[in-house]
Amino acid sequence: MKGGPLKFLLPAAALLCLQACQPVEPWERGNLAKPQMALEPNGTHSALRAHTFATRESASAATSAAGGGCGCN
Amino acid sequence: MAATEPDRPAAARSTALLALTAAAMALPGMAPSTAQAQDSENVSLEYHRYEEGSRDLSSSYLFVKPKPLEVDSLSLAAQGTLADRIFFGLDYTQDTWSGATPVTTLPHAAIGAQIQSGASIPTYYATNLKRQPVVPNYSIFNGRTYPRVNDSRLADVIASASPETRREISGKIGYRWDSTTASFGAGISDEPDYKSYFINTDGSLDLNQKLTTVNWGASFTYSDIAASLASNTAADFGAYTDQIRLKGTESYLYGSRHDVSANAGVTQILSKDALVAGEIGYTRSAGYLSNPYKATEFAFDDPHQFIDITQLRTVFIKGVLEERPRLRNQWNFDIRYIQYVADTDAALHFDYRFFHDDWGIDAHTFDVSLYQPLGDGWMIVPGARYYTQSAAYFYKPFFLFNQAFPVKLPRNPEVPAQIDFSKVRIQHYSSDERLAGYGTATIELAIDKQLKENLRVELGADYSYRSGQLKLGGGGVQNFADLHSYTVYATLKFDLAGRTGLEDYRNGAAIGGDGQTQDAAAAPASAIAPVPAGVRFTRLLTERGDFAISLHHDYGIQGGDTLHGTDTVSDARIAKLDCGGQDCTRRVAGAYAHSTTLDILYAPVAGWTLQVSPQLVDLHLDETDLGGGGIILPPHPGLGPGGGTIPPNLFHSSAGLGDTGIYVLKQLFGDDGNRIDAAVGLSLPTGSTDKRVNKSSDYLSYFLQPGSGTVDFAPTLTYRGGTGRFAWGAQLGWVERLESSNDAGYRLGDRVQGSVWGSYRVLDWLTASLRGVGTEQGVIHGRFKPHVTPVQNGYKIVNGQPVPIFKNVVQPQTELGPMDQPGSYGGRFGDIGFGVTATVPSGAFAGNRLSVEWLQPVADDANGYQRARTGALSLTWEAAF
Repeated sequence: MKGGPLKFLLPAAALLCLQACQPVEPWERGNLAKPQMALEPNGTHSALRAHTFATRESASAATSAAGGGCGCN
Repeated sequence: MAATEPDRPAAARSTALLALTAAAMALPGMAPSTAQAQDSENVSLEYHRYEEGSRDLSSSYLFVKPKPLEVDSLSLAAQGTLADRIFFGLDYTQDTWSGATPVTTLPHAAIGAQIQSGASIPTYYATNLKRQPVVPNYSIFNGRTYPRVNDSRLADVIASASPETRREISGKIGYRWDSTTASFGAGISDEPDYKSYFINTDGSLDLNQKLTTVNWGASFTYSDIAASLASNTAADFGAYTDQIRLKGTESYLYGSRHDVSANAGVTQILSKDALVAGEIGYTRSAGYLSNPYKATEFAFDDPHQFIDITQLRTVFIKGVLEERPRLRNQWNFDIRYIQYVADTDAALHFDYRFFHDDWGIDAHTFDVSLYQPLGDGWMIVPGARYYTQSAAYFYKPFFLFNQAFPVKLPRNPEVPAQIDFSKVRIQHYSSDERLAGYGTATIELAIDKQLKENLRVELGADYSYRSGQLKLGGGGVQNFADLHSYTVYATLKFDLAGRTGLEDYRNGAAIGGDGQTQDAAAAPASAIAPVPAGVRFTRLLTERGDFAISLHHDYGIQGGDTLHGTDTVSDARIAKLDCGGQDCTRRVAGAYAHSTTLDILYAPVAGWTLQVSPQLVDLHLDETDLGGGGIILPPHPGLGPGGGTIPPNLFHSSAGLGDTGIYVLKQLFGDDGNRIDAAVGLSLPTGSTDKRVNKSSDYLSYFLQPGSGTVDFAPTLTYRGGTGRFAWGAQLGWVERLESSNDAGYRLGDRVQGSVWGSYRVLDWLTASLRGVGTEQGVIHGRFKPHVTPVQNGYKIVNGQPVPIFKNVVQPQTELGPMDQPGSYGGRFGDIGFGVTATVPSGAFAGNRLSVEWLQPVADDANGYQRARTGALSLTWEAAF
């Protein structure tokens, strides 16, 4: 893998762990609950978009859903 | 937003409060944050259209310029809870693919040579003594050689495939403990050439006072491939002779593959305004991983070839079905960061993904988008994406070998020379541009609007540009592979959280779906009892601003005997019919029509309903050869001995957007147990009547055209009544074509249909129905107009390059059988329909209604010669929200 992703991911993981030490109380999570803060604000579109890209590009995400068809054309 | 409006009615405020409570319950600290999606109860529907721009075909040698690739997708997803801790998800997706994509890539000089020789496919190109491809002008000989120009460009060869539709259905069910979830799912993806079966599992665990969520998933997919090689017959079958067999009269490539995938990730709340999610995934794919529709060009430059006075070398080329490795290991690393922007109440989403596989492809994806609320329920979402990948180690636009063409012996003189692969040192090869090195830049924009407390609509579009020059680090593929593409989509999302359905249902409010509360009060429930699935135009809204949707799917099958009027006729008789001055050679074996219609209903004024009904259709026509004038199939490696009269193609399909109806619905009469409703509208010709036979300017038969091509007047009158558990109704509808002919030269016959039904409510939530249907449809008027076909008529030299000269030849539409004849459409038909309707009595989906009806033909009096009808299935989902 030529070390490419690890160079990026390790500092990110370290940053994540440092940050995680800051407690966020339940009553402070109002902003996090807003729809625009969801990981996938429009899940149906995200799935179709990912399917379109996966049939036009070589990289495709590993997901637990799978399926997807040929996309041969 | 909605909750802060000062003058909202009390009922709306309480719903808003409910929504706010639900939102609060979804706070990471108050409910399992991991299951945010699983907590929600919603239905979403999306139409999505992907379209590629025209490719650079200026250099190609094509009679008919093919349409670029188009994909129309429709997706319906529902998720909810069955009991306190059990959740489920159901997904249905269909995509229809049509248009042309590259089959192979050639040195451009080979196209120049093809134009000058008039050959049907490129077979060679010339080079100078430095082995640079050149295009000589063979029409001018100066006593020593021909003038030539250097030409190192590459060109795509484009081919159309018949439009076809993929359908995928999947479901999952899961259980939620206090801080853990687990779910299992399965699904099927089905298209004519490719079937996938998959199972999956995933789960999550909340840690650290729900600041941290760990999630994992795994899946297994098995796929069966059966791809027709009809559009690739010129290619050498290479390594696949064992996998290619005859199916009917076409050669098919059979293969299978399986994919195992696993992923694990962490979502971490970083602060009250930011969170990050990381995921690692691995996929192992094994089996037939190649693309059956792509060929690779092998070019053989014999170092010992005789070079004459012209000082030109000849390089022979041959297309070969591509061969990729049979194993692929893929890794994904994904990291997402979401930051709340307090000043504008926006959220910034960053996503970076790294992909690596053992085919030599490294890919990076950068995604950024801003979710910016604008107030009053509006949100705007601009975004950008950059994708870059390196090429697979076995990708080349074409493969050049420094050796003579290794002819496979013994050679069959009747077919082009085949390659002896034991003499070619290469194992894996592909020229599929998706395996090349390139970059793609995308800009996106979406607009989201909360229409009601529980209804959101999102409209979006994106534009992408793919180019070798955009590859990170340079060295991408040449510009022949540049590509523009566009996407537009619309999503409707119904949030069902907080619905208390059962009470609404018992009060009759949910029976007709949204907006029928007033009807329920005015008339007993029996008068608005469910109608059979095949009956349309019975959903009327009452209050101004009401909104509803219904989804219909109809599937009609004609697979019985061939009828002439009410009599069965033999194939021998059809073979004696006149087809454009010759005996007919084909008849229909089976005709299959799918149509999916979305009814969008809105009441702009109290008591008036406006209905817009777009439609997607998917049509298949199988034909049987009657042996009268088929084409002789040559012997071919892998196909066994040839000979016999065999038609070149027996399966036709077509698909795409159908016609769009726009109607106004109004109740004309209503009392205690009866009502009469009218619908008046137009069907607009948004469906194509220009679908053509592959590689030909002939139209596909009338049956396979997705639209009518004419503006049609379509009124309907419906009576409904009932008492107690019994209900009954009658409907009369007709379609009158308002234009004398469409652009293709014909118009469909007018149609009148009447039906009468009775239904009985067996259980509170289940109704059974019986219906009689009579239909009369006229013959097609006019016929496909003669079409102009450009035919090559020599060439001329422009700037040293041969440019083909075409002459236009007017040809009538080819008739092969009754399906190509306007008189063999329509007739008088009688059916009996058996139906059931289930209405969800309680829970988040209360009031949603699912109806199924099977129409069994009982009387056929067909115009002309037609296949008898086997039956028709109707499915209707009436959404209530």
